[in-house]
Amino acid sequence: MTKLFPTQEVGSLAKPAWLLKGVRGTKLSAEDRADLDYWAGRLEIEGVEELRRLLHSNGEPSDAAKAALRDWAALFAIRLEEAAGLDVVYDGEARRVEMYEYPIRRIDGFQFYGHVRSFDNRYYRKAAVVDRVALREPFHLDELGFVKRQARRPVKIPVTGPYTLADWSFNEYYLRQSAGIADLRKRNYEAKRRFTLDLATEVLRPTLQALVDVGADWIQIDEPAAATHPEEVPILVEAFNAATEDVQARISIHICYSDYRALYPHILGMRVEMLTLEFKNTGDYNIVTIFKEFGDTRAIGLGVLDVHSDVIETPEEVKTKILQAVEILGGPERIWVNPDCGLRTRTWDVAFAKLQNMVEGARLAREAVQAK
Amino acid sequence: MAFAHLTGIFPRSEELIASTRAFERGRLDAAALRRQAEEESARLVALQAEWGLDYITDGLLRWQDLLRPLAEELPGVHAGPVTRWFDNNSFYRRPVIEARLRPVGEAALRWTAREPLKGRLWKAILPTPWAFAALSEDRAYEDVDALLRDVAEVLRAEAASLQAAGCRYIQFSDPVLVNRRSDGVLSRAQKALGRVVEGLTVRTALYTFFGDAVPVLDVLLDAPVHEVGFDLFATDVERLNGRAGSKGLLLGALDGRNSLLEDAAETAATVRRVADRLHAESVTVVPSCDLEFLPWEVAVAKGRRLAEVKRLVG
Repeated sequence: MTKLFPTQEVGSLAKPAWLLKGVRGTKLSAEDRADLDYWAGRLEIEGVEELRRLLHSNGEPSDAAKAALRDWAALFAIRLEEAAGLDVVYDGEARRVEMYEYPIRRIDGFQFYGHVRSFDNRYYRKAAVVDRVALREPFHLDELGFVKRQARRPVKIPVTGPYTLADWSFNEYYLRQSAGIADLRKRNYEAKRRFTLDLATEVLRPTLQALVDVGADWIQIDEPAAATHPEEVPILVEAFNAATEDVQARISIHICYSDYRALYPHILGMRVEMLTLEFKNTGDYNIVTIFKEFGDTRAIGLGVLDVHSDVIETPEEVKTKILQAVEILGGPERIWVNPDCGLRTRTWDVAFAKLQNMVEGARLAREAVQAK
Repeated sequence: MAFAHLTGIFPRSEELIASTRAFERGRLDAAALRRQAEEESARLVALQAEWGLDYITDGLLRWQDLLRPLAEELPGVHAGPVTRWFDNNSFYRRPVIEARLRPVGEAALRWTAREPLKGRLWKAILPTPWAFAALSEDRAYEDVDALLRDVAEVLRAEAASLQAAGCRYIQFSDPVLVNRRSDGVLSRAQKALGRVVEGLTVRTALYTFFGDAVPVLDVLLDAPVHEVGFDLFATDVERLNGRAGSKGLLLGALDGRNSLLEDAAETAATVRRVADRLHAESVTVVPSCDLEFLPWEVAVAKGRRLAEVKRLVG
């Protein structure tokens, strides 16, 4: 993209109540229906009568009806991102339960035991790898096909990376395979490496290649766990390179809520075009200096929206942050602009307003740079 | 002589998890949730006794994290932003200290299911003063030593109230000492812990986890408590070098963060090897950390395995 400061989505959006209730077969409230009507009008979505008919059907919806509801939700999300003015869009991950469980349920070798706590009274299902991992069939293909057919802007598909899938799972099979190593710390490390590399070569690589075969031009590998264990960054890099080997598409990585310093210098060996990172939440744009300090010349996806706050960043604030990064990096060419992470914890009203201001802030920054 | 007990928060059962969710959605009241947590504590107490653990905990089922009772109960402190809990995919609420701390005395006790512990040798768990101070956001003190002094007074009152309530063993948990080392920290942390345990007659322990204990081993072995311990899954065991002597060792030999059930014989051999290396007279086999990182059924299997390892260590 030749435009300065192009804007991109980076993760999931909140799932509309009409989708969640619709797939459960639960009756919509007047508020849910009003919300649907409001966004259908605002995003100028045509043929919504069909969606209303689907939602008014009684009882548990058929699989075909559920799939149709998810198509509608994906369409709404695509249109929201387009209406906000983003240069690169996706579907807000409308079909995915979330970024861990969705792919894990499509890979052989895992077993779900039960819930573990995330914090307070929030929990998530955590799987154990109990056998060697094997891909059942490449995933996200239909999803990408739908987005490609509907989107009026360039598309980037997010896929959860091998290191995060491994890090968020219990490791049984590979630990057994590493039982010959007496030192427990070294055993855990080697087992993690084998697990992650198998996910990279046996699951991710064929999936990414299949995505390219159905038209993926740009794939974003999501690795939120990247810097959780600084000593394992070499595993992250090795697995990333193995997963993306011979994948003929633009490849970027998204890492959030991490100590980015812990990634260097190993991440310099990662074959990736762009690092999309969270900056707004940290409040410390000096993190951009890491790029300069380590001579990292790759593109940077600059997080400028705090996804955990309802405060709407102003275009001026966004512009200032972009120009700050330009100053540190010594030029504007390799800066993309995005939210810190997915906006799924915000309402669509808040997410839309934030994205609109982000796009406007990027335009102001562009003007400022070009005026010089 | 070998012993075994738990070292932290036990996971909630699927039933209790469902109830906490119902509570969040307004479908269950606080009293009913509390009753259910206490019933589950009672079952867990019975399980630990059946396994043959030497000190019993209530499982800390109401604790949302290690710091929460103090964050909720101390005047001028509140449970603040959700913050990553070390290198885990789980989070705690960082306590925000808005005013000078005053001891309240029974914060931890109020968060303990005491009824099922009656007549048992029971164990309580508190953060060390250093862990609480380092993991909080300080908006009231400008001086870390002053903060540490006041946190020590708070914890001293907590420990005293637990002892008065019949608790026989207090473990002070500290993942910070082995993770965020900086100059001068160790002696200050030691001094603050010394103040907390001053005058206590119960058995006391300092337990570290999530980090390598090798660089702080000398300080651990010199800590003003009866027993010290560390996480064997995070420690470079081959570099351990010291003399525990009469100080008991708590060895985190069952991985609290992975579901694979350890081989009992191999784990017992590891425990013996480390105990011999440090010339320990007494050793306690413990999970490497809280078991709350595991689903309930897996944690129960680990608890049972803990007792088997203890028997094999002898």
